[in-house]
Amino acid sequence: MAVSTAGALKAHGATSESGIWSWLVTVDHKRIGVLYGVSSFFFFLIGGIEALLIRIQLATPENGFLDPDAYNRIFTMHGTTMVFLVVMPMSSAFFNLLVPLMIGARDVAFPRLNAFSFWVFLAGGLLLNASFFTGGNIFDGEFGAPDGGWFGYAPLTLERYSGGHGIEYWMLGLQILGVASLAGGFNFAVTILNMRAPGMTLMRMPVFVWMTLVMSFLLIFAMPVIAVALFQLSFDRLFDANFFNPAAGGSPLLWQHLFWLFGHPEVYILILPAMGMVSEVLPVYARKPLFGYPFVVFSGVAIGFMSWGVWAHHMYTVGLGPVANSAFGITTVMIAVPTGVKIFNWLATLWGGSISFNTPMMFCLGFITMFTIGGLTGVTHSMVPSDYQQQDTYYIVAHFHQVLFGGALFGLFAGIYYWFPKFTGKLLNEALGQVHFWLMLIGFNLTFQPMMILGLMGMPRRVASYPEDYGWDLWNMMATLGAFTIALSILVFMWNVIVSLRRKERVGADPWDGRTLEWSIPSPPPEYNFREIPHVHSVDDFWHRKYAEDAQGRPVPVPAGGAALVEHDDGRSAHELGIHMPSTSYFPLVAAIGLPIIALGLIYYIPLVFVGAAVLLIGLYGWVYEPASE
Amino acid sequence: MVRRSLVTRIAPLLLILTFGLVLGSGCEYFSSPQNTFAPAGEVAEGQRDDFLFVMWPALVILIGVWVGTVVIAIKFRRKKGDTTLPRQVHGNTPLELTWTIIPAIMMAAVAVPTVVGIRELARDPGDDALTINVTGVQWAWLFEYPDIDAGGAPLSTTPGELRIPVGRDIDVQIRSTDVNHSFWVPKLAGKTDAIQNHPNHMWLRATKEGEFAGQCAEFCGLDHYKMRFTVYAMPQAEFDAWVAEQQAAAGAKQGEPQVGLATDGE
Repeated sequence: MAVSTAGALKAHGATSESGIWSWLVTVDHKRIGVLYGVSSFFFFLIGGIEALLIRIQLATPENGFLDPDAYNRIFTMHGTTMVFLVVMPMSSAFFNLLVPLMIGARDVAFPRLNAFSFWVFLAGGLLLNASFFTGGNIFDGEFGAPDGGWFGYAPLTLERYSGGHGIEYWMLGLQILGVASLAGGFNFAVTILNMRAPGMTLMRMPVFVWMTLVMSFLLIFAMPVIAVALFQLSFDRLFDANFFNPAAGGSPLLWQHLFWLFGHPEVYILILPAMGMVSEVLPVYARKPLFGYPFVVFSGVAIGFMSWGVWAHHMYTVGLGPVANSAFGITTVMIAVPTGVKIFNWLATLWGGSISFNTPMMFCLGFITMFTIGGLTGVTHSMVPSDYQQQDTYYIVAHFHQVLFGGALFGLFAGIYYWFPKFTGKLLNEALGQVHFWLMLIGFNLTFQPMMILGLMGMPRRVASYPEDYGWDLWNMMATLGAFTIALSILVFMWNVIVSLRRKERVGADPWDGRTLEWSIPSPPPEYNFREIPHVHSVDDFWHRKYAEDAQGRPVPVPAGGAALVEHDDGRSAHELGIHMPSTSYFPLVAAIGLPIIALGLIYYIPLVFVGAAVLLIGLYGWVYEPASE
Repeated sequence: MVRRSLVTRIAPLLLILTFGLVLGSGCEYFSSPQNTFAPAGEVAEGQRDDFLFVMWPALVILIGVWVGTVVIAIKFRRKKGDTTLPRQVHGNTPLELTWTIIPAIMMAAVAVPTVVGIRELARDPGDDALTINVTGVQWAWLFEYPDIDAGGAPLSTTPGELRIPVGRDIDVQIRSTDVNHSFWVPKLAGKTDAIQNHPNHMWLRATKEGEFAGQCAEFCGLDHYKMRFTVYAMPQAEFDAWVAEQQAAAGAKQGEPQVGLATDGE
């Protein structure tokens, strides 16, 4: 029955239509990218509000704005949200939008699996945040959200120490998000390896595609590790198992090993896509190719491998012994080498260029300068004896925000400003963009550099309050002011998006004189992306179609000119052009809805698990037997 | 081309002002009872020196990258009306090998004091060391001296108060009876986690007399932020006197009949 409805819908050709239904059934990678982007930005606002609540509470000593219980829940949700619901899916938005365009493909390898990834991610994110409402009256500050920290160290997460359902929402929500990440990881690894246009050898791929490939493999190997840990925790909490219960011989250290064996590759899952974006944006505004493409690619691959050998630097103080601590100290210091290579290659890309300082470029320069602080504070962690002091202090909080905010988020904003015209046909306002950048840079420094000082002055992390006479007041107040400056910059950004979308003037296919294939097709791209699949002859293929190099290595425009090379969209649909596109389907959405129902069943009422499983199976069954269109 | 708006011109000034504020905000804000840069113990002193050993070169590199970025950005900015394109340099292998190998050597140089420091902190405390059992519970620190007898049981202190002699190795045995905690006295030594079923130990040695603030450093639930304690470091003689006093009090307590509470507050 359902199958025939789907058939009827497809006859309609829903992909090119607008309306809510077309978004629910879409399998178009560009639309899924937009869905990822919008949802992750929504979660970014939630996580940001949580950050502001934290900063208000810590602005003054002995503050009573939040009670410790609410504080613990909010900082747990801030970390969990920013990692799993913001930086990861915002990177996913870019993989979806860009990877097929950059490799000259019409879609990803598994379009419906792609839709499934998104809906599962959204289901997991909503489930996680729904936990807020389970603690009583939310308007009285009675939050039911998890209270074990984003790292969820056992035994604090066991039922004995954390009652209520918060931790259960957390562990099952993360489990569901893991399904989305795994599906996405496989999808993009296969897409990149199998769907490249003719001539696009691995060493002709844009660096962003390379970093996506490395990240996909990190996801494929890292998510199962956290899945195992979360399953064990689920059995402990739901069925009285004792994996992490020390009173019954379980091991709290097992959780820490599993969590960080996932957690450190995760850091590179968060940062590699942003590094890829910076590697794409810098050459365009410097009007020079990326300096040492193979070095940048292989340093990214090296980081991917090395990220598996550094997890215990999160655990120097748990008592692993001097041999383990020495080994992990050395691997930690060594991972700085490939990271440094990237910084130097980026600077060398700028050297000798002809640099324009558009907003995307400013965010890239912000990335280079701010991420370097994060990288160098990372080196100080490899000095194990001194890290016994810094571990679990605000110094660490400062460090990873320098990496994940000063790095990943600055990179993502560079990407947003750079590729916005490609997918909307409109440029973001340049003046507002500059205001956004400078406010964010100032706010960032005002927030996180005082935290370094706080950490060295002995302020531990995750404290709901601190005494008056500890000399921490000024720095905390500064950090709070900085956080509000960042919030202001985000408002400027949102305003910018609104006014820019309302602008009448449209840009052409190639507003930045771009180098990669996505700029060779109209903005926004038609659903089929490329009318003719391109043949690729070199790195930065589109650039080389536009320019030849003279004897001194200076580019000279080819006679035909760049504009003539851009494909034109005459409004004909894929069907009219005889291009086969994947058909829409609502079964991925149906299957995804099954997962949170299973989770709620596990938390509240076991029979509901079977309902959820039935929904999941119906979704998968319909998906498998859905007839191909035409 | 970007029109240089007023904001773009003012912004760098604001940035410099921010840093100026941070740095020039007065030295009293750099003092704290938990300041790791004002050590009062041998271990903490070594840890501060180790930190500085990495921090100074890191700061030099950071400033180098920042100055480099700004100088390159200014030197190679696109001038108004310029329509030419720069030479398309794709890379330079010897140069890239240089900036791979030199940092690798520098990083290896960090590894040497790291390993030396780890071994030093993992050494057994000296023969004359005083052993202390530290137990982290939600949300308090309990201390006892297993080798000092007080009325038939090991001498223990008021929760949250630890007394140690100055200039003597303290062998700290750390455990937890519930969730994870972390024992930390920033001015004396870095932290070691308290984990149930996973006893840990560390040593420390106060070099100055005084009261030193300590605090649980591993998130342990609702009142984690209140899980503070104080270490009183005193000369050996003063410590011995305190022990004798405690022993006498415990002995007196033991001699009393088992009804009611001990009444003498002396």
